[in-house]
Amino acid sequence: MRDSHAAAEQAMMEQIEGLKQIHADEIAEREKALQEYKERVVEIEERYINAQDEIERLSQEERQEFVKDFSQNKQNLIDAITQRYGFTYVP
Amino acid sequence: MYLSLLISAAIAGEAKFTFLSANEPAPFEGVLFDPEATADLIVAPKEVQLNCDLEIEYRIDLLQTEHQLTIQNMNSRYNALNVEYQQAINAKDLQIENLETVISSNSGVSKWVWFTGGLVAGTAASYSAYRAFNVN
Repeated sequence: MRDSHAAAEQAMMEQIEGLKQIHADEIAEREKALQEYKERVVEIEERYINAQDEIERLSQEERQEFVKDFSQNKQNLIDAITQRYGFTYVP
Repeated sequence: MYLSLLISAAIAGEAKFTFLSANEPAPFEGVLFDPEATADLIVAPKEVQLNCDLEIEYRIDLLQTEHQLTIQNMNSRYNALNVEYQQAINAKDLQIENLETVISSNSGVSKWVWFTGGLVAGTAASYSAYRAFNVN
């Protein structure tokens, strides 16, 4: 009977150790996932800011082209306005 | 959005516009935009569309990443619970095995005790009866 009790106690201790290990593994896995999440968010934000800058740059270039068209290529301006807004050009 | 672009451009002192009356310098009354304002008006719709698409993509990416984290956490929990469950089952099996061993070993001793006890009691009873009825 005493042997049985000792064996049960031993089994319990092993189970507790096992549970501790399982929890430690789970926490490590969660930490890793959180780290990956943070890195991914940083990457997304960087890409977003870069894309915003790129849109701003392209728009600025396009604006300058249209400003130049006032003196160099009026037809391009007329086409752009009629195409975008459907207005009729009156010379 | 267009208005804000125009306002910001106007504040920066870049784009200008004014009102014209009929036959003043133009064939009909209307609004006169300078080249910068006109360029802003032409570019604005495309710029707004691009920014809108970008914003949507950004929000979707963030949500996807967040959901990915939630799924990973749930998977971790599920795996941990699975291992815990398996471990508990193994421990219980071991415990049952131990208890069965104890029971079987105990019942073996008991058989011999009962046998010996019965033998002694039977002999003692027979001897007592013999002594009691064999007085003469």
